[in-house]
Amino acid sequence: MSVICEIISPKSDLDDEVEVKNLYFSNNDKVNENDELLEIETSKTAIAIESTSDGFVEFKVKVGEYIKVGSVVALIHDTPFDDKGDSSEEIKIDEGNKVISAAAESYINENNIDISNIDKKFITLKDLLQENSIEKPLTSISNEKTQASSLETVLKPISKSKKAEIKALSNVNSSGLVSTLAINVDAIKMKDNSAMFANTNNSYLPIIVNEVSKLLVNYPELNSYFNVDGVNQYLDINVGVALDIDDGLKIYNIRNCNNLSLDEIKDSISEGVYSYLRKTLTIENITESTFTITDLSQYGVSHFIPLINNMQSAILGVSAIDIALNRFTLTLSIDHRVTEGKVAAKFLTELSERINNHSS
Amino acid sequence: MNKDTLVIVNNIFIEVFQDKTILLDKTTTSNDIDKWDSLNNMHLVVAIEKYFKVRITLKDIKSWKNVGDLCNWISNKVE
Repeated sequence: MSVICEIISPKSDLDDEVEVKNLYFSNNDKVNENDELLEIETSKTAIAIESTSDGFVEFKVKVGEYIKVGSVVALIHDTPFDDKGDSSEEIKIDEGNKVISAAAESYINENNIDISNIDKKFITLKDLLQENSIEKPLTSISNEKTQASSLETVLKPISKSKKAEIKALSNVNSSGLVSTLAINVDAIKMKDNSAMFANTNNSYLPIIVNEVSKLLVNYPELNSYFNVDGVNQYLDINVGVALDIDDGLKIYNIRNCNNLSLDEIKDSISEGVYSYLRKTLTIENITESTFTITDLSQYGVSHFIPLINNMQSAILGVSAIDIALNRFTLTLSIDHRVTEGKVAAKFLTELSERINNHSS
Repeated sequence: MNKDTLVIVNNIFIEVFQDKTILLDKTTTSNDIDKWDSLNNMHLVVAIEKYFKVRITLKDIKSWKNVGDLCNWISNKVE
């Protein structure tokens, strides 16, 4: 018996960890290449992971478990293997004589969870995840008690994907070294190609994506990210477009965007939105963007401060057109550890000029 | 153009735009409906796909100049 291949959890822009939502087979089941083995949930979407070979599956994860991206989630064997059970459910007995699985113990330690109020003798990871009331770290519970306790509240649990999103967005924004600049851009008359279903014809977004991607060639610090050893500059320019319509926030990645024509960018954005609405976005569609644009112009906002994504140094926000003043606002949030206000201001000014050159 | 298709498409437009006053004819374009922006454009396409159980490509979309073209395309696909 030998292992034919390892199945790896795909890497994600936003997440260090993802949640295992479903296993579609049992250990030792015969699987074929391209069979969907399991489903994981990132902060952006649910993703099915397929087998890369025919064989017999051995899962290394369980439903409800949080796993590191890039870790092995399953093995494919050439013959049925000796299934002695999952070591993650190895047990430990704590001081209160409760039996705790290894996976549960790891979760308890990572999240500083008090299990004294769990009325169970055997505690698994699933038990912990179902007990919303004990998901909060002890420190946050004690802080709450010092606040206005006479006010009644209803605890609405935060979804796992939202928690992952918060964690990822906190990476840059919690540094306290983020600032946001804004510029007003004259609204331009859009060129009309008279097609009935003119894709994104009434939107500035394709023009902005197009011009941003070309400008980033001259502003590599805005196409970078900070790490403790220095600043990593991306060689590719992959512009992510934030989509948040009715299925949560997802960043649709337009790869090598600076090499695309405006029409190609229009088509790419349309394909991204169609895939979002059809719920067919793939992991390749929503990972590895190097700069993000978030367009809230549909919602009528005059301006807003966008939050920088993990492993990026800047994000551009697009607001709605002010009909009375015939202009709209672009806001650029930057990581001061990577760049500075003067650079961002210059970038915005050049971007404004480039957009206005598109006026018909 | 199949008249029934136009009626169904009209109902889809009413649903997507939440506007009961919409009355399509074969010459209607995006210039005739205020809320017909790029996002609603895509909602329309997905709603049409779901109702008629067809797959619409960008190439198809670009080939339509008005509602009449859309209805003709649907009629050809579902017949």
